[in-house]
Amino acid sequence: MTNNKNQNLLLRSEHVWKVFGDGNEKKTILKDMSMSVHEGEFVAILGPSGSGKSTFLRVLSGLIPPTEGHVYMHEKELQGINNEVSIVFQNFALYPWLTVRKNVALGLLHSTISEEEKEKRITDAIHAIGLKGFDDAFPREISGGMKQRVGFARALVVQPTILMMDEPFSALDVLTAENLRHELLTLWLEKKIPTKTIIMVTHNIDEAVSMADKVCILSSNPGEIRVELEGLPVETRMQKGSDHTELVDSIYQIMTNPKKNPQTILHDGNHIPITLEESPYQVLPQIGISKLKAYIKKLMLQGGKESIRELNTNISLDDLLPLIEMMDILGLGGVEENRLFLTELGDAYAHGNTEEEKQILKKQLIANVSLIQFIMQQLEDGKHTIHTSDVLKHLHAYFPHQDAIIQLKTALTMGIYAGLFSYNRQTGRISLIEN
Amino acid sequence: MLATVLFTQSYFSVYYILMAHAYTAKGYNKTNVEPRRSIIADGIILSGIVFLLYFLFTVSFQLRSPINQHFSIDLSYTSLFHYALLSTGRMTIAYILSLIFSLCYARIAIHNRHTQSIMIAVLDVLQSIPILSFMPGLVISLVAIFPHSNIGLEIAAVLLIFTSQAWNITFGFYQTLITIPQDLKEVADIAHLGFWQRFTRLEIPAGMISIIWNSMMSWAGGWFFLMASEQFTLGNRSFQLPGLGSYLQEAAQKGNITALFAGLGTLVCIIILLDQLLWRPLVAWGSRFKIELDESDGHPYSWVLHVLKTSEIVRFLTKYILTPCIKGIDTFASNITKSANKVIVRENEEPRRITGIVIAVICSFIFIIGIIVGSQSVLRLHGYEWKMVIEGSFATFGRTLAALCISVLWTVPLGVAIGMNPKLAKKMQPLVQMAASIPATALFPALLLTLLVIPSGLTIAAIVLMLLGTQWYVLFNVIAGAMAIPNDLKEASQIYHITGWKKWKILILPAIFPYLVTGMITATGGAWNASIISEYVSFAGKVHETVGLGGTIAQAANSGNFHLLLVSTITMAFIVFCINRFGWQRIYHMAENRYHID
Repeated sequence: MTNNKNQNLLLRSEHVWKVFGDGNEKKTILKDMSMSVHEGEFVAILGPSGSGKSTFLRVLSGLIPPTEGHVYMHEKELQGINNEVSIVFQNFALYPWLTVRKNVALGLLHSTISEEEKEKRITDAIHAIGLKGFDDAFPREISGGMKQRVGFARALVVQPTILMMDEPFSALDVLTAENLRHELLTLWLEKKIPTKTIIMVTHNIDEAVSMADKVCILSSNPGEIRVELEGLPVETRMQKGSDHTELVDSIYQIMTNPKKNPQTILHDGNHIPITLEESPYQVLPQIGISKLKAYIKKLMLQGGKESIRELNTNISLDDLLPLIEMMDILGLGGVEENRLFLTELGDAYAHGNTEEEKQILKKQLIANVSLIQFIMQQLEDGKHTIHTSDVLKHLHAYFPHQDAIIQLKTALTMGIYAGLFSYNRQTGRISLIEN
Repeated sequence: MLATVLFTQSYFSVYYILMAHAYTAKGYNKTNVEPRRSIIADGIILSGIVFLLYFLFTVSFQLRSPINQHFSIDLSYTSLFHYALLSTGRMTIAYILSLIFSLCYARIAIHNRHTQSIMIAVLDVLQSIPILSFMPGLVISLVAIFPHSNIGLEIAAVLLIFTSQAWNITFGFYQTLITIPQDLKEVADIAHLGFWQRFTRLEIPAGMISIIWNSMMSWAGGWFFLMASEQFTLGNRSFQLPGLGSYLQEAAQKGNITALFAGLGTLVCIIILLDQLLWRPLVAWGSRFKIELDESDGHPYSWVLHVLKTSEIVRFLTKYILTPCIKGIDTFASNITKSANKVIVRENEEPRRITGIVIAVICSFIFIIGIIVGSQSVLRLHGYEWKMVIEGSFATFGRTLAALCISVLWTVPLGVAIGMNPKLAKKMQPLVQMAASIPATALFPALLLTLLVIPSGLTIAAIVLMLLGTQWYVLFNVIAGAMAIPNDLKEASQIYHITGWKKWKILILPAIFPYLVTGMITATGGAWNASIISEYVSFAGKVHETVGLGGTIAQAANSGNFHLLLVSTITMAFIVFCINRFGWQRIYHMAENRYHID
């Protein structure tokens, strides 16, 4: 994306990779992430779970080093923790044994400024963030919203050049979050805080659009920057007008179509089928069979179609994306013009009784799920039984260790539910169920 | 010494000023006394501090003065008081050492991956060997080093108690250190906290609850070893130290029943007083260190803590002496450790690997020396000595097994009854706690007095001592297990009319099984420990012995048979380690997997 603001470059990541584990257990969390943050910008990093967005924030702050690549602050390579950064954490990260005031003071413990100056700054931060009178309270005595205010005060008291926020509002209830968002944005826009840049990690699309100058969308497994979008002008940002809705819709489209080029979505925006990757095994999304069933029935009751935005008010994005993917894999549903719809088969599934459901699931699993196909093939070839460790051994060629286990577990649960095979936990053997 | 004197002087003047202030402001009317500025509280605090000073003087004089080895224990009540203070003093010194050791050891262990794996493995071994098996060897060598004073014996006693107290505090603190939530650590990183600041603001507070609870357990366990080391004899040589343990032994040998009961009563009093004056306030105070951010109900209450909070003296001392002192130390320590806190975050582990290698080299060096010394002893051991070791192992094993069986037989029904019946629990809990608080070794002289008159009395006494020392672990674990049975499971068994033996088989036994095993692991070590002091004893001038590994160890130490002492000590440590490793721990994992209730 172009950046016509032409301001000073503050923070820059260059081809950052993050790989956890070693040997056969390697898992790539971040893939080739390059991003620039300028003075005066409010950047939102938006991604589904598993996109490594929090990891990326920690790499940018210097808390954890990148495996490959570099992070530059003021064009100087970052060694260790960035001195000009402070972080607001998702679950507040307050020290329960310290009072509100002492928690805020924590940020200044290291600082060399005089005691009086410290006290003054602490008082100022506590007042600015609306915590007046709570100085001597302990974190467990105050509400969630107040706790996060302490988190903000602690981060702002050091007057950081960059304020980083890791899903700061996600642990709060809707109204409290909205209120705090508004207050923070006001402080920021009216320049009441000396912070030059804010970087916020979030999985809430609406939140990103309402606050940020720039929205950076990540893909998941591994995390990779898919696209950077220009945010809305400051004037229209907080009002939920048509611009707002349009941008939110585009982002939904991009995020629910992980394999599609975002630029084409932005340009035509019409019917986009989900395309599957050509690989020996597809990655099975993590959604429980009972959740899948419940959502399909719910969709059926809505008339077999529902806008994704509408669904997102009831289903978290972390469930919604796997749900869509799973329905697509099983041929029970799909996405069209930002709406999730049921196929004929999906409709039959939703209406069927338990036995009919199982039959549909059975057929679809054998037809579409590559891992189930592999297991069935092994079962039918040999002695009608196979040990899970053999399947795992085979899967290790394609998945990191933990993922292989998760994939197998998912496939097993579905196969057992559909009555394809049985599994003995004690022996670890899968056995064919004869018809 | 000078510091304490100065402290008392300033203390008294402060006290008088405050008393005057309190009297003029409030008069004598008790009903007028507000929670803050309580005269009663001040009075209690004052007498408490006077007593504390007396205690300090008593203990320090004992440590300084060389007492001749052939002292006699005086059975009068004034001496009893004196002995009680001395015993508590030994416990205190050992505890302070354990605490310092634990904090340092756990902190160093989490320094990096290499130190972690090695140091925790070492701790695991140390924890599972029976400490008392080293006592005869330890006492003999320390007495040889300090032949003219009691200091060797004092050191031996403190070391023994230390080894019984340190491991679980260390383990508990280590556990909390590695489970500190990631974001709390990141806050410390981002705030650039130095080592000292991080240790005092984050790591110690996070571990505080674990430290307090484990300290309580350590004290309870420590009494057992204190009593054992104060009344230690090898054949006709006495290594007694003036203290409660030797008082009890002397009383039993003289057949003085009143003195025996007075001694036991004093011991129970000390334990109750410590509970009220130290542990309860600490637990109540420690509740603020809970890591959960949510307000939960049910705060522990302590009247002592209330007194401390309402006392004007304490407030004054805190404000003008304690707080400035702490602040001074804090600033000083923070500044020292600040420069050492250059955080280098790169995945280059070279310098850390070097520390790992150094530790590994030291460990393997010690290991090799051990092998050489051990193999020499093994080679020089005579055939009949081998026979003693092997026969003894089986005999002691049989006794520990008998003790464990008996304890399971009576603790499981009682424990389940208490655990599943809240009303009964309310009545029985104080009784059980009181009984469990008396260290088995304190009762041992009384046991000998009654049992040595009957044939094979020592064998019975040994089993009873093992039983007394171990049954409480099993009982408390069974109670905990029975209490942890979810209510819905109990209700389900009621609805489906599962009663009697079926209920035991389907619900109770599987539910308490993991807890029972946990209790048995601790009990096994305790039982083997008890064998050392119970299989070879001198009582009222006569030596009594029975076949057993513990007896062999004690006898070898007495006769100066170094090789036999080494081999039998190592054999016992090895047996217990193996029983835990390959017996109980396997069963435990099986129980965890199979009978785990979520």
